[in-house]
Amino acid sequence: MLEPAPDFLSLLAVLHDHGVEFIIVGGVCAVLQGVPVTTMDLDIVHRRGEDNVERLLAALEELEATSRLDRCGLRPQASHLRGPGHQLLRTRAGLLDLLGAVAGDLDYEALLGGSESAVVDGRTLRLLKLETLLEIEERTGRPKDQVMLPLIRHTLAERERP
Amino acid sequence: MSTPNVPIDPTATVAPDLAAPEPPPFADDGTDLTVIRWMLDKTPEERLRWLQAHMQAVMKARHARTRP
Repeated sequence: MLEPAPDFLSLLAVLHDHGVEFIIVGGVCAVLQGVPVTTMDLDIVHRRGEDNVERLLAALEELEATSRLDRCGLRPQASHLRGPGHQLLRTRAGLLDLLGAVAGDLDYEALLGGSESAVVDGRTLRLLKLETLLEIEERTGRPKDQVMLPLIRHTLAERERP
Repeated sequence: MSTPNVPIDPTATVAPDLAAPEPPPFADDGTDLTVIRWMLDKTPEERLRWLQAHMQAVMKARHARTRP
């Protein structure tokens, strides 16, 4: 199946405008921080509290989100979003990965201290600090993440350069 | 017309910016640092718009290739 071209701005706008509490991680986080990488999907870690899961479900409804792993196009349910697992979704605005936790047990609350905000399209969004992203990618040790590590390290060094 | 006899200070003849060494374009591992500097000159929103435009162009090319 041909995936829709990613429209990260629309994805983020819908999530933000529904009041969803989330932290941007992964490749989009890296790009927002100045790392020259490319990615097809938006990865976020959402707060798994009941009220936030309800807001997230409303946002997913608007985005027409369905599971990428289910041929029948299963729509995400609240029970899927309350756990630490990963929901890999297809939406009308591109691929969206909802991560209950990353690197084992780092959930929204655990990551909050290592995050910062950025304004995109007039909306204030929360994303991981580049130093935190580096720590997590080093910890996960997945080959696809390892590719990004030198670029993150060089970007951090360039930011420090006078 | 005579000019005042001002002693020449060799360190003052070069502006500080010009005296600073050019940062290297590549890192030891081959990473192109000029691309990183180009990205860092942009705002977060500009960076995301760059990624989005890039990926949309990639998808457009991929869709074109799959046409009969």
